[in-house]
Amino acid sequence: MSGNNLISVTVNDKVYQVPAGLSIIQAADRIGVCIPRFCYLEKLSPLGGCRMCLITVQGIPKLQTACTTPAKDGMVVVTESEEIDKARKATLELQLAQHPLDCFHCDKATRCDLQDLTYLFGDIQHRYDFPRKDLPTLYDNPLIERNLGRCVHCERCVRVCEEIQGADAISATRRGRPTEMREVPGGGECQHCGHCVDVCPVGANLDRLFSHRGRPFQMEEGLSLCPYCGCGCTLSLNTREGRIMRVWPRGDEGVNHGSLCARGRFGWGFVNHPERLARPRIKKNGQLVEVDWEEALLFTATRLEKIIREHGPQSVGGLGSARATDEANYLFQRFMRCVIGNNNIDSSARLGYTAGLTGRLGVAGDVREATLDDVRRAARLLVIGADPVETNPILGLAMKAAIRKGATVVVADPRTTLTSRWASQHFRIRPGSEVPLILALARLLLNERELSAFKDADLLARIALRSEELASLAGMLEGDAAEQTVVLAGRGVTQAPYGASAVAALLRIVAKRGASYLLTVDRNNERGSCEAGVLPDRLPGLAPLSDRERFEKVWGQKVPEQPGLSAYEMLQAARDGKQKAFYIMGENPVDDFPDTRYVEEALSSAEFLVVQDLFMTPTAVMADVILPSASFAEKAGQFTNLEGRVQPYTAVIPPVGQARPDARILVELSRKMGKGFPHKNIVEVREEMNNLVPMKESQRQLACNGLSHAVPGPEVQWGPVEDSDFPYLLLTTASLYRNGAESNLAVGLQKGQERAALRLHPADAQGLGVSDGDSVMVTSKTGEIQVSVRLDDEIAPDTLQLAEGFSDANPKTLFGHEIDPVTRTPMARYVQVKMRKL
Amino acid sequence: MSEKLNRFIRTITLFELLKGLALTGSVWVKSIVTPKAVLVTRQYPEEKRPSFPAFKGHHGFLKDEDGSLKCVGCGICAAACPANAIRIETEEGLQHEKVVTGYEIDAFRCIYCGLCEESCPKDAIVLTQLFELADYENRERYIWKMDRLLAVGEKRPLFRDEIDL
Repeated sequence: MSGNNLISVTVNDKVYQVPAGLSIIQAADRIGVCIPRFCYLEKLSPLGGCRMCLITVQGIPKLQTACTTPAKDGMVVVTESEEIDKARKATLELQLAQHPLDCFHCDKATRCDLQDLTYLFGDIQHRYDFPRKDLPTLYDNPLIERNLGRCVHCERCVRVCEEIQGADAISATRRGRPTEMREVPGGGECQHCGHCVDVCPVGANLDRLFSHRGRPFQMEEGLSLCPYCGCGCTLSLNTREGRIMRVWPRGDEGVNHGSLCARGRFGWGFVNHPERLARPRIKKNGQLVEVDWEEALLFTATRLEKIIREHGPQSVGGLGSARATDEANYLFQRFMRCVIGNNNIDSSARLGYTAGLTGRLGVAGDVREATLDDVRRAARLLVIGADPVETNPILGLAMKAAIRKGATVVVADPRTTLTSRWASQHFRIRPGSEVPLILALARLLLNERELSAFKDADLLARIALRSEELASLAGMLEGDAAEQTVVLAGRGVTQAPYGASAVAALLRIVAKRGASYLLTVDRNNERGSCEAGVLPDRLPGLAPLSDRERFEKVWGQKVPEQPGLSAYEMLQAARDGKQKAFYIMGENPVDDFPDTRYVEEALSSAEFLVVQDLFMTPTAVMADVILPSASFAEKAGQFTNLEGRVQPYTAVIPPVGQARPDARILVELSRKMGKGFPHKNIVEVREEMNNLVPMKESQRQLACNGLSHAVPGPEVQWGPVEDSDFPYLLLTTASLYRNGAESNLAVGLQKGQERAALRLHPADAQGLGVSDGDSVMVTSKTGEIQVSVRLDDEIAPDTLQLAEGFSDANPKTLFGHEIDPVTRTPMARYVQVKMRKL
Repeated sequence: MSEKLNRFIRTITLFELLKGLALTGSVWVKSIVTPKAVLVTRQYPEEKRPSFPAFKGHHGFLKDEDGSLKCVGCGICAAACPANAIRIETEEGLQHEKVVTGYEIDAFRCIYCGLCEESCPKDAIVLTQLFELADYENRERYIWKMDRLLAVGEKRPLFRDEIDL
């Protein structure tokens, strides 16, 4: 089956050239001949069950299904004739005989294939008078309703769930007319990707958040980008009267190729949430009161100017946002550098991508970065300290697609995750030993002098791995299929001590073997915020500070020479009384940064705190000024996804209340402070940025010159220190249903999973006397949280797994605030805890 | 010459004025003499005549025999409306049924074409004979909500004073 071979097929008396290896319906779609269908979908395996695509092939006496018949050279096909019409009408007649015909209140009406085909064929007889069987509508799933009566038995939902999502949640039960497509006990667990809703040709699978809230023809559609993880999926927002009503993918557009995850599809509820901040607020006499924009901006400008006058520009710190657009982040760093006058700029990307980036900068020369499509085509995938299925579900889908094509996936992770369940081999390494693992691999594959201080036996003991297991891991990076080998690394590597050195070593291996790598990214624009210059030691495009003259020329203002402080250094400076003010744009450090109490104390010891956010987050509550900003759907800009693909998008709905886009707030504030930015709109900002940081195709040309990293010595402690007071080890994981504060306010994600669940081994639960659903108090040296328990016999005894992101039980409270000396990233992967039953 | 003389005589005898006054006088006398019912001009608003049965006036909402709304919220009226005057809100009820929670007609936009009535598959909306639509008060009074439409639909008034809107 070679793609370039053309064959000629005669369709309806015309000769067409089509590529070989297609089915007749695929060939017809490519040449623009319409064949009606219910069950066929290009991305699924053909079923041949609906009998709508019947056609005549010369030489074959009976009608054939176009979806299962391969097109061959010289074939003569007729797609429309009296005989075919009769057969198709008979099929429709049978479908309509048992269809409830409740189009008046069906949410699929006007987007329904059965409706369209009924109109297309017009005169369909009604000869069958058997009573309609009243099949129930199932509401077991909190987000998807299954209206069995409307089902046309095409099995698209069953196939999409099995073949693309890999969840196996839906199966066809019973036979004949009463066949039901439903979730059955003992089947897979629904991951609420909603793909079954998209592919359903009729109204049998429906989005429950949209249920009866409007008709399809009343919706306006606008393309946008998902605000959750780093995949950067294209969303189509269905809006009505300026409110989002539902979200779906648009065809096969975007990096997601028509798939979405639970967060992308059902996580939009925060946009029109009643608790959205609609007006600016200022703290007056200890109370936050609503004021108008003029007053809020003037107040902010005056206070910031006063602090700069009294304590110098170094006394102000800024947190840009791993959620905001590239343009807003670019303006933010320009604001901090030129208007405030220091380099104290960081964002929550410090917790993830920045460390990986520091590692990347430590490797001179080119290292091939994988795209999502490379992952789909991969033959071998090595996943270290990452859980793409939950942190980046679309990357997870790409991985599953590779597995279906026969790829080998090897996971090295101390946790049991959705990814490890898909692996052909899962090495449960000791918690915190991702870095020693990479060092051991580097010793095996690179032969570098720097690593000679380590002893193999010592490293293997730290990782809890036998030498033949290490050899089989190294084997993943050897051999012929190097080009089709992708290494995925995640926060398990980047949040470990000397994570940057490990990433650098890993990339050197990858470069030497000709493989490619991809770092998982938890937040939508971690990468974009770094590339836009929200880093204390790098300018836009990752240019070093020594390159600042080029920027000064364009900006017309001085750029400070001295590198700034990173996030935790700023917090420490605030606690020491040196940092007097914070400008926080779209970040929520109290919830997101490890060691909640430490962060709270640092922020409250600052004299002046400006927070730009959507909601009254725990950080915003402490602020002196709150500036309401627009959500992703309400502003234009561009996000940079985990592959480095820069994707622009436009605003779909007007902002809630008086909320304004981040970029506009910064421009207006800069004017109030007497060093106004000249930009009139977002396009001017983008052009300025693109002139400074040239783009090639959809990627930025970055300054990736080598840095030299301190190489760790064998004396570094990786992994937890035993402590008999705190006998359990808590590991953080990601959840499909949470990613940041907004996801806690999205009604769809709340329905997907309401509360956090602490997963522990049944043996540990027995020792503690708890069972499924009981509450426990988890205490570490720094804090405690109350959480309910879920038993899971697949996770290792004496370890606990808790997902980040749930506002009811935030594991970040339990962590300390030690930072890595190289990447200045706080460690938040594992912590020693004790538990007691409540 | 004679024409000039003629005009002179007409001018000094005020002939044209008297001719006009004669017509006025005759109409005045006639109006006193003829009975009121025969007069052509109707004395609106003292005297009102109902509009014709096919007249398309104020919209009314109808209920079925059990007293529940006939409207099922299908939105076809809103789709059919050429002036985009109809706004309809629906939600999921407790039994997962569709509930119409809001129905508004913007009287400023409505052109009284009756396409909503014609398109309605449930005969839930009608254009009644009520033609007195003007209001003195603010704009809000011209956004006809469900309660007002139901009241008109139930009573089917011919004139405004029959109903308290």
